[in-house]
Amino acid sequence: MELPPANATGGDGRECCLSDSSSFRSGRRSIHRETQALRLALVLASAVSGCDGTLSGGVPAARSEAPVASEPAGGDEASASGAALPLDGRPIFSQLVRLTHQQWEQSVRDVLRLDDLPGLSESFTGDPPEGIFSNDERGLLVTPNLSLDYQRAAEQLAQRVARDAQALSRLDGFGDPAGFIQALGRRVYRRPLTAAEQQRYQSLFAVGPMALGSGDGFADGAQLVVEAMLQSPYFVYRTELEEDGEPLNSYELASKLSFLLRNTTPDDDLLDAAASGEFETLDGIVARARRMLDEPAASAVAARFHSELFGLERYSAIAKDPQRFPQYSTSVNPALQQAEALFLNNLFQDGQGLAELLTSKIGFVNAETAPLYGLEAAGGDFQAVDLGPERPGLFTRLGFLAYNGTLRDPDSIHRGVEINRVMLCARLQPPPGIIPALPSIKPDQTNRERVSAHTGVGTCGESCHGTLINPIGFAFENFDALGQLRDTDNGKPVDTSGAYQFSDGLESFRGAPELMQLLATNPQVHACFAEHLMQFTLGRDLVEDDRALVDQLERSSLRTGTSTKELLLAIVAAPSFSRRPTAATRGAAQ
Amino acid sequence: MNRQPSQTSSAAAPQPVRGQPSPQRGRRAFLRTLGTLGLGLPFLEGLPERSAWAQAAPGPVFGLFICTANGVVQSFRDEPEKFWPPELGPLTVSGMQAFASDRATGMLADHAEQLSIVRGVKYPFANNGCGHALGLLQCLTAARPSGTSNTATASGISADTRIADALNPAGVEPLSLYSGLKEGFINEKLSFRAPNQVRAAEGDPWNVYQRLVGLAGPSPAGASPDLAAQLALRRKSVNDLVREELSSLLNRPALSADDRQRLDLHFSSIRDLEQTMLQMGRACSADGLDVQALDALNTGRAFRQDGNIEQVARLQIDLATLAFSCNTTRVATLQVGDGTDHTRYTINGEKVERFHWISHRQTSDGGDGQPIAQALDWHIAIDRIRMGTFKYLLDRWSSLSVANGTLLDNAFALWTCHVAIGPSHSFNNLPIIVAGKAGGFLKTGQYIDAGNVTNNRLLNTLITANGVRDGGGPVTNFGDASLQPGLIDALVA
Repeated sequence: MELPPANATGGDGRECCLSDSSSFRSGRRSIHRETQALRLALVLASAVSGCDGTLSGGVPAARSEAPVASEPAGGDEASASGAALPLDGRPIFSQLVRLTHQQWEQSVRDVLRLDDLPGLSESFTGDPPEGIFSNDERGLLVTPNLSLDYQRAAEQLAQRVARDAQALSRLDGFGDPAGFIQALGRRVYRRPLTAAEQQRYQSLFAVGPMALGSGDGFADGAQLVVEAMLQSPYFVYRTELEEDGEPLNSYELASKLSFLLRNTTPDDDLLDAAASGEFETLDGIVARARRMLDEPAASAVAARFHSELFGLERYSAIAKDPQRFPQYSTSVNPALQQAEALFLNNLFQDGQGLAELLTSKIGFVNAETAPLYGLEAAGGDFQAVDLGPERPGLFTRLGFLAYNGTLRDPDSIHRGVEINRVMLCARLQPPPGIIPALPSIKPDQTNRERVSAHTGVGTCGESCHGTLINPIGFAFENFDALGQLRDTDNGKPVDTSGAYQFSDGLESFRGAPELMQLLATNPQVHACFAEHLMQFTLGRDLVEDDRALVDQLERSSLRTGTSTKELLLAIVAAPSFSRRPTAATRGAAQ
Repeated sequence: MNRQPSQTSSAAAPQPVRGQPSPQRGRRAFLRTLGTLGLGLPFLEGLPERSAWAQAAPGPVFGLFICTANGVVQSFRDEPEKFWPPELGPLTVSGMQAFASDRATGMLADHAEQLSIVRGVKYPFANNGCGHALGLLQCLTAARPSGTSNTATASGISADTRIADALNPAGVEPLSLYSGLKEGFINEKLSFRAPNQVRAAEGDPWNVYQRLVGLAGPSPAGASPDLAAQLALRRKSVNDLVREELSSLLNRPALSADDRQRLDLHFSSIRDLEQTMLQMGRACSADGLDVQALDALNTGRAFRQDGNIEQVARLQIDLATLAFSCNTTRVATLQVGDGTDHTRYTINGEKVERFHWISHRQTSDGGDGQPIAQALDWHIAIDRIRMGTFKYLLDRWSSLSVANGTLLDNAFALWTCHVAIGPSHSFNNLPIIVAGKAGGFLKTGQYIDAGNVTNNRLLNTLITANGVRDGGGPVTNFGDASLQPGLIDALVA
């Protein structure tokens, strides 16, 4: 099988990629990549805007002071993408994006300077899922129930802070109503209050003694102010109030960066930076984002991206037949989930990208999970180990394989469905509503034979199963229902061969390692990953106007092995992050 | 048709509430207070004169829509009939008792006189994809689904939205309840606030309870009217400021239609004390509500564990009952089970396979699993467990007195499924039980065949039964515009 280079950075193609991914740290390489990615970010911004140093549309408010690289990021700038995935989402480009419950929780802690998370959002009305990611703008509404939840929480928190002199004194302006309002208002509104807002709060403060009558006038006023501020639309929504096509203002950008990379409200330092004009240039935005990406909070954000994309939380539902798998119990499920979270987080931290996600031989095991891999590990701590050539990347690990397994057999169909959906962005129609009766089971059939008889070529399931789902799923036939290696199924040798019709042609493979190599070097897979990362970073569906950036990221990820971190930075550097969409873009999305 | 005039609750003047929260009062302490007082709601007394119950007869009608998962065992291929009564016609207690051990509906024999069991109703739009999502989406909307599988959505509003928009005070949504694992593939897809905008359904009964009692603040008994007036002033002052900000945002000319709709929803959600649930009557009592059980299920997210799904359903029924008794909303929905419900029921002491797999009769969410030998027996047993939960509702509603008889006389509850039959996912001949007389509007005591009609006809009937009128007459055109309008006449008294 001839493979194009997966890692042009190192210049030695596939082998470099594989050997790199088996050693987690490479200082030289990460420095090299950082330089490369800043260049990439700038190139992307300039490429989309026609190389005039502005974000888009010729409005020069966010000037780039940095040199613009003269060479295109992917080498072949003008060519169309190898994978023209449909970009037909339904974004609303909301100017008022409600905080997620996690963001609310952390923001309240930060603006009120509490020691701990208040924990009140656990009882908030949930957000029915919209799209893959929990920060999708469409799912974030203030409904009547949530409005009551906010009210209840604001009342509790205001009382807690105002009736605790120590807590109250931690907020600036203690004893000085105007100063108190000004300082707290800047944190809660993520910008300085206007004179009218300041006045409104001072009027509200004055109602405090009448409404509460505790005898402590300052505490009463402060309680009312906190109660109102926490229910203000400027707190519960992150706003983008600038006109169509205009850059977000500095404070809006500070908030957008903070909620993206820290999942909380901007701290005083970020607000000061906004005040100083740091985010009026592209360099300023990208440089700040780069620093924030190295903070621990960014890891938590990346973990959420991965967890939601790959559905890691579902691993808690893994169950196996105890007669068939006596070595397994559900108590190991949390460790299976944690292992993959660690794997993905390490890739992210170490500046690795999609190719490594699919091909790295490094995995994480602890004393509970090591025996299931046929390994030994001491203690409860996770260790990074080389899992060998049979287990490259996320999808050859126990979590994915066991989740996509029935109590006794591999679930080839769902293994195939998941990779089609998550890695290839294939639009699979769901199975027909009427499930055909099962074919009779022959005692010597393998899992593959039985699934093929029911859904494969020549059956009514041929179009989806025969060509898209089953070939991918069958590549994992040498992993049993728990994800352990096997050579035979029902006494016969397993058959892991298949062929898949990618957007750029049919490719044959035998076994998961070959399939993973194919995926790691296929434009469709990189385009799909770019699409997911953009959905997460921008918090919205994608549309045709996003294609230029999807294509750029795809080429960069495919040809130069650009890391997830750098891809994310490139999105931050793009006009679609730092500017309001034009009226034409918004109109086309309707 | 206009037997029962449409009635909306009017906003009342500020009402006295009994005090305000004490600073360090935690949840446990709150519970203890409730326990010693022997009541769940701290502000039960007063203001019957403004209560909907006290207004001229006929009183308000309440509706609860229950949609469960995975179909019932009814005659299909070589599978036996285990749901429907043996014969169409009148239902009597003794007649139903005769088939109670064989057919699940027979378990409701005690309430025969209050039931209409309806066969011959189908979802209008073909099941050409994931039946579970497409059925859920049509169950209360009779609207055309768009998209497929877990990303599918409904192109219209649901019946509870139509009812709440007409009958609830502005900004008071239908109660939207859930019992199930919420595993994430297909969760709530029953209640639609607007086309493509699903309403969150609360799966934790404790949160429902908190919202019901929290409307007036957690107010231990014994506080003075002065404190209540202060609370009203405080809320009003804060809300005025928030409303002013929302108004100024709404006045921005460049705001998109989507954002405007969101802010409108937010704006209408803000309620001062005087607009809240304080219009309650003598039936508004949390007596019998098991607050300790609510708390226990909240602990460690037990409400999402599969051993508890029916207990949660019962508590949600209790809470809907409480909300109706207090006239906080005229309509509620309860979704029992996820779209592809993976609950493992306990049958004869044994925790069995995932319900969705049982309903497929094989170890699979699709069609590629191994046969489950006992699947049919287990599904029959699960149907009977679920029917026991519905009987619990009927027992409660028939024992709760309101102004004009029992709650069951003045309300209706619909019990149905988002598919008709497990293995086939059929949308025809949906299991439908309508219980209650809806203030005399509904005809009961019968097992009827509606004649293979689409479910918009059922929804028109129930929306009208709930008290909604269209130009003075019945609502006949709810759901997709292409469907044949009208009611199911045999359901109307």
